[in-house]
Amino acid sequence: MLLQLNNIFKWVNSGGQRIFLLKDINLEVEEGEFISIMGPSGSGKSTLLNVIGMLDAFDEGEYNFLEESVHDLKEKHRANLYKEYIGFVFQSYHLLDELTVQENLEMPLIYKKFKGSERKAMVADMLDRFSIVGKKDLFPAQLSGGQQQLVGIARALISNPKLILADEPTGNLNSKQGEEIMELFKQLNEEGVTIIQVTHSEKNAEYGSRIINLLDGRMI
Amino acid sequence: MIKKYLRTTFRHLWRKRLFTALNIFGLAIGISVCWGIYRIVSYEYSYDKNLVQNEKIYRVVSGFVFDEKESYNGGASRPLYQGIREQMDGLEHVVPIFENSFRSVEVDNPSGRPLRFDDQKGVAEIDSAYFNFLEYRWLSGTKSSFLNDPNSVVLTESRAKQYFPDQAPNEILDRTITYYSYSDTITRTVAGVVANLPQPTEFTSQEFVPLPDVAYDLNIWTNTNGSDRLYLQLGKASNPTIIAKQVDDIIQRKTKEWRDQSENTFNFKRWMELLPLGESHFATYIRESNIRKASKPVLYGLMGIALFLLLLACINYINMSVAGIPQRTKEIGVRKTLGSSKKQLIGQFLLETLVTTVLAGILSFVLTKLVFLLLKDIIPEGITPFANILEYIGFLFILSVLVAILAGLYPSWLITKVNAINVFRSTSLQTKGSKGFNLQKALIVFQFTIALVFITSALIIGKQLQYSIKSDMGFNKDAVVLVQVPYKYVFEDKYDGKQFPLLEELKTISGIQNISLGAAPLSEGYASSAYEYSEEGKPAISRQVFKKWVDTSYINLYNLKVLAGRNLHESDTPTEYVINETAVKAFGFASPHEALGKFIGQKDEKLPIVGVVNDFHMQDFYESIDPMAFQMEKGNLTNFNIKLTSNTNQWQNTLSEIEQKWYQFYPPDSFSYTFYDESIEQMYKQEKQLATLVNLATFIAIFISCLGLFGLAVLTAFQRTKEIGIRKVMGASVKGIVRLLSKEYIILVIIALVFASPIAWFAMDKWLEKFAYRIQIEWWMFLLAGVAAIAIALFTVGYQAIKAAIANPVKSLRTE
Repeated sequence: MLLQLNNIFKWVNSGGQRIFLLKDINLEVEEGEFISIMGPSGSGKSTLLNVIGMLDAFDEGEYNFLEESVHDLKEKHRANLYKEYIGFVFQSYHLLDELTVQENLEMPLIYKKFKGSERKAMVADMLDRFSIVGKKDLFPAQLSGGQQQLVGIARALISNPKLILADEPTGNLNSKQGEEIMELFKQLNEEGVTIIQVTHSEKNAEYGSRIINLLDGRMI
Repeated sequence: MIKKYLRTTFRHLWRKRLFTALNIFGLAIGISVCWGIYRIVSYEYSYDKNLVQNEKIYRVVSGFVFDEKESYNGGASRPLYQGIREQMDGLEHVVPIFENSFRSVEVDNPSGRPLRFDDQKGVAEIDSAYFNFLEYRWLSGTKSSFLNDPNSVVLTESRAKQYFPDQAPNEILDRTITYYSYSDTITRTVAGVVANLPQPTEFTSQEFVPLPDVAYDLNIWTNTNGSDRLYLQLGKASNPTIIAKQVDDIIQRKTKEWRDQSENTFNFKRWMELLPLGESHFATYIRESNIRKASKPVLYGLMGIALFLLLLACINYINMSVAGIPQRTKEIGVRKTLGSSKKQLIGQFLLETLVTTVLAGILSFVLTKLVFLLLKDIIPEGITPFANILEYIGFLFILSVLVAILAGLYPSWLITKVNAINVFRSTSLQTKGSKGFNLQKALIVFQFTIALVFITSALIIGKQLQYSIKSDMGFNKDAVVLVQVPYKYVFEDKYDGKQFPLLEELKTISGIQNISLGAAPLSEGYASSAYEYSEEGKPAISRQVFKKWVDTSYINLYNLKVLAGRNLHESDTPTEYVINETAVKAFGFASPHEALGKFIGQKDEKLPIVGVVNDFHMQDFYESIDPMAFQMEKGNLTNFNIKLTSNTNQWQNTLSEIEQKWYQFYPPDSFSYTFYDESIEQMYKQEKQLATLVNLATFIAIFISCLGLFGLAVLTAFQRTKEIGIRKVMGASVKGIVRLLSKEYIILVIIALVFASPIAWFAMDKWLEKFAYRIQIEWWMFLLAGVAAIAIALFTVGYQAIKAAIANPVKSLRTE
């Protein structure tokens, strides 16, 4: 089992009232799954994704990731954990504007303390795999949205994560580009990467093996 | 309309209150320093500006060459004014002012004991020309009654208040004042009281006595005394160059006459020059103790400091405004689409700048008082922070407009470049311009260059000062206390020779390790004469030699090393010399031993050299060590050098014991002591002031630069939140992010160091040049300054960097 959420609660206090963002979430994810999280705006999809990605804390409950109790870990260990096993893909790509495609891909490897030669090989490998070798020296602004997201996914994959978390990866793309990205996800999933995506689109959700529906922070 | 603009401006400034506060504070410091320095500079330049036709007034000064050294004296030979009056045309006024000081002055007091004032200065001998030349307001008495009575005196209002407290000017007419000098006693009658001249002025005499128009001996023409000043007011058509030539001619003729008559061969050259009155206040090359001088280079330096500090504050403003533009693009875009013209946008921005400056001006009102407090050692007496509030407001207004234009124009121009369409289209306002070298960074480099020049200079000046005071001077000055017999008692019969029985008494005090009579090794006053050494068959060698009168325990007390021969023997008049190494070389002796037994001295009174001591400093570090000869002459021994035991706890007791013994021999209030090392420190008062000034400038420069840096760090951290978020999600550590954010500032400081080092090196090398003994400028000083600047920069940006680094990336990456 990859990860397990038991009775997760997350809330904020606003004006003397407790507003629940996540309410009693119980979720088990096996390796190799492709899960789509759906729900209307404000239902807690992104919050759940951030909790799974360990970027956001929760107030109550247990979270186990690869036999480690995330809720008991210190900040630094948690960071090491997600650095090693999780890759993130964002709706608005979040590439660094002043870095080229190649440099964007290399960035996470620097933080994971790979050596220069290793980094070069891994970046070349990834460029090759996504057929964007020709674009390696371009800046994000010179790419189309679909291409930017491709780079975003390549960046998430570059250090071989076990889990990819994607927050509306096709939200800023037209339907053709979106389809291509989803095909890519499917292919990656078949190669063994676990994927959890947040999406609005029924069609995109179909690519997954399991759909989780959220409403007001609750799984239904 | 303007009200509306002002309202939005204030709202905007309030919304950005952190930056508004930083800007106002920085500008206020700049303005305060500018105002303080403006007050000093305008004061120094206002000397005698109110005199009518002051550009026609000149001062006659004497130039000399002694020993191949050129020097100037602020005085002129006494009879010169008579010669000028007799032989020259084209002069409105020829005004001699011969100042005297008196050992003591007694003012009659019908109702009790006469009032006594010691060491009175500022008593001037003048004739009728003086009161024609300077317009005094007579509070009582008349000019004619003063001139007709050779034993009269006219007092200024302030002096009259001192002598006759609580009495009206006309009540003190015909009262008597007795003047005691070393040579005689004169009683004078008050013939009038005049109002003090408007300040500041060079004419500071406080009492006027008639100058008798006597005929002078020819040899008086060769005497020059700095307190005998002579002023000329030229006629409308007179040419100063011609007048100067004529004055000089008179002196040269008289000198020749005198030479012919006396067959004197002593070789000296003297000439007369005309110094414009406007220059006189700045003529620091003429050493005068009775006239306050200002140094033009120092004033220029001050103006430079004011300008630079103001510039630093303006740069802060520019930098923060430019850095803030990305956050304002939306507002600007909206304004543009709604039809605002470029002019209106610029106007709006300049108004913001103007409001900020005006607020800074108001704050500087408070800060100015602080500046005056901090600079109180440097600011001449008589300058107050706000003498004329209108002048201050005017100054503030001009400065505000200037700053508004200087600081506001570039950012406002940038604002107009914002493209409205881009503003709305762009989905994310991503980081821009963190790569490459843009204007903002150039300005920061400029700021830090200035700060670093100041830091390095402060370091080097401090080091030189420390070197001047602390380094080995060739004698041991530790635990030495100096006590001087006051001059007025030295020449009084009643106290003649009293120092010797006192010396014997003092020797009995157990807290005194050693005691000697004689001039301290390094002191401000000195005496020198031309000594000759003549070997048979060779031309005589003549050298200017410092004379120091000491007793036999002196060499021992100051730990001087006798390199050859022996100490002086006890005697009443000079019978032999002990010279220093420099003198050995100056007279061409091969070694100290070689010098022993040789006869040197003035022509007809040559004495043998019996010993040689090591070189030691006799003057401050500006002067190199000159040839010197110790000699014993009892009449000249008036200074006690007292070496205390090393037990510092005992010192106070010992000093009070000395004081008790002192009063067995000398009258009350005549005892005062100084620790020798402190009195040496006092000699570097000017350098200390410079150090204070540079330290303050350094502090302010660093402070203003840091305000700017801090503001910029806040803005960059804000602009880069998204980037930081992405990097964190990709696995960057807090440490890594802090390093990323701080790194570029450190690079900027290093670039600034590259620029600042040669500038500081050049300036300090020039300053050090004046010292005969100086420190070497070394690379570590620049390095230290750089490290200090980096540390300060890191400290400033560090907080922001850490704050940005530990922020939760989820927030910054949320897609709106």
